[in-house]
Amino acid sequence: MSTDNPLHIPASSRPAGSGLLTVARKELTDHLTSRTFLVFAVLLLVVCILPFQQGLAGYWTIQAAYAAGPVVTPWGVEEFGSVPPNAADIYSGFPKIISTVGAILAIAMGFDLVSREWQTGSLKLLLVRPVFRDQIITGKALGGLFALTTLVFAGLAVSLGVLLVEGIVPDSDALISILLFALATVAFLAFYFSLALTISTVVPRTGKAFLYALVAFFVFTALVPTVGVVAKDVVVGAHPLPGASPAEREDYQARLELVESVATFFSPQWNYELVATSALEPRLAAYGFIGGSAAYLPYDVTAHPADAFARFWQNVLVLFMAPLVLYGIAFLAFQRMDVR
Amino acid sequence: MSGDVPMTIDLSRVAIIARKEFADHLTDRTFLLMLVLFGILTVLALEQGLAGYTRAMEWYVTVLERTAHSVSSEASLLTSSPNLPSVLWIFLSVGNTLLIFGPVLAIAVGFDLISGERSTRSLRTLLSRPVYRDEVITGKAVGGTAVLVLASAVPYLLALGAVLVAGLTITPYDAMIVALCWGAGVLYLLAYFGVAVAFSAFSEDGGRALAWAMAIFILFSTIVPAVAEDTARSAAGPIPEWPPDDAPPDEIQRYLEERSSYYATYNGVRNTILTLSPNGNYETLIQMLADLHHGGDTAGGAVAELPGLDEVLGRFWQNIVGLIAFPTIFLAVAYVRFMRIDLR
Repeated sequence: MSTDNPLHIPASSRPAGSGLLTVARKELTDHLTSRTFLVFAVLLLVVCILPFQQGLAGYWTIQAAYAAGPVVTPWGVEEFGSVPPNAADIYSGFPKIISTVGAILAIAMGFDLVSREWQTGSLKLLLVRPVFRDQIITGKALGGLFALTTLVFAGLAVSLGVLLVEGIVPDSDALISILLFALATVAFLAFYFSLALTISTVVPRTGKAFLYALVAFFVFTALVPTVGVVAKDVVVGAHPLPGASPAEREDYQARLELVESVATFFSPQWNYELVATSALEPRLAAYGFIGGSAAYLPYDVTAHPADAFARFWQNVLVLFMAPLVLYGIAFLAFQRMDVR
Repeated sequence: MSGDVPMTIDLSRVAIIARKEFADHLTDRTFLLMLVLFGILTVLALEQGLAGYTRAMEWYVTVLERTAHSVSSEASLLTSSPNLPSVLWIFLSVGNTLLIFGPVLAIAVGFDLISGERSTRSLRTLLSRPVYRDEVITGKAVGGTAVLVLASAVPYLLALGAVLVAGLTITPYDAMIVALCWGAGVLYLLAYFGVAVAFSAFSEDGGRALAWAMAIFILFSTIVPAVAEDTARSAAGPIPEWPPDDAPPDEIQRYLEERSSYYATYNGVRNTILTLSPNGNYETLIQMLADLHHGGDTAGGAVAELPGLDEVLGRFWQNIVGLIAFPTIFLAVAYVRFMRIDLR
């Protein structure tokens, strides 16, 4: 009798975590062969072509200016073209595009992971198998994460191939920059993926789940920035007049920076754009989205790719921790889900 | 069919379905949530629009005062430059919110129209009743359209309220332009409503239908404009070079002609490609309506200079046709698909 018991499985044939890996592998294959995923991936790729072209054109312009030698103006040496072009700069148009189209791709991947299984009744069948609930939700999250990583790095490989064909060989610093940018991109996409996964666990109908995810997306991308602009007007007040004292001006600057950092904190899109831009341009010292300002370190200072991450460590922390927090919520919701 | 069952669409049955659909949407929590979000975004945009209007008005008054105190030669220069700020600006500041958020609202209304009833299996029950299929789809489309007409009126009503609270007045001409903007907005929303209904008829799962409709939205809002610009640039060739400072007059004349032909080709090609996209059509029409006001109402100029509306609308007939054809095609596809759907 004991040999017929399906729950009694020899330990050798079931290594720890095999259920997890099975679910993750199945999810990864499902994503990579899903028509919706492929369509959105192609859309994302097509959307990225234009900024990539512009980046390439900018690279060649700087290259030509550098080859022509430094230009001495009455105000000193012209900065433009005084240093060789950086291959990482070619990617600088990507964050803006990925932060909208990529977010919708990630939502489209995650919105039906649990709700569809619930709707079609396959969740019940899945749960009568010898696989634990936590393995299912973790496997689903990991499968999606692997799919996103595959997508980002496939795109990266293609773009690097184009760079090599164009005769641009990124040096080690540029390569690290691009790698950090890719990691930030995966983290950002993972945020919306886990958001959709969480909503999918809470909302039982697939269509409703997608809608709620879209509402959240619009709250983050449209409402937060607009509220930020209003908050800037209300909290920071008018720009000090030219005759204002230095103390007044400093006060204004401090309040502006506070509003900027709070708004950036609550807008995943801005947060990602900031981190990704700082990865690609290590000289970035400060960036304000509301005011549209950017400050860079002087050109004679050498900066390494990880330096900017250290400068914006709070944003990096938020970018990488937010998906984990959302995954935690999805995990709890799935554990307590009432499947009947 | 026997003689006692007429083979005509019974409008009362269509009306019943449309009314039910309308009420369902208006009491749906997700839809209301989106409408509230839309309203908040509109109010924030209005706040900016009103502030911009006030600033422009102050500037206008300053310029007028300076003109009154200055010598006549300078005055003629100044009077031609400032436009009397128009209340229309406030209404148009609302249009941008509609451009981005409107399609999502329209898709939200349309995506579950058929697939929702299919996945909950209520469609079979519905069709076992004495009602024809075409009446069902027509009623649903009419109900959804009514909801969208109402939803697209929300920003303009909010703007009207803001304008009245601020104590500004609206001329009949302005009101007509705003009404046309609203009409363009309704057609724009209908375009994405049609896309969502079509996918809803093809997909058994509401979420999938929504995902596909969003993909179409991305295609038309980001990719088509980029392609249009790229194609137009390559079709127009290189930008004519600025002639040297000491160039003879005929050289400059040639440059000006080349430049105008360059921009004519560029705009022509770009607009033709954008006609395929509801976003492009809507943006062009709104821009045209805004320019309409700019063109006529300069300070000191007579109001009689305002160009006739029908004449200007005639110039943009492609965009209007495009904006009407897009939803028609998708709704027709949805209609045919729904008539043939195999329900088991």
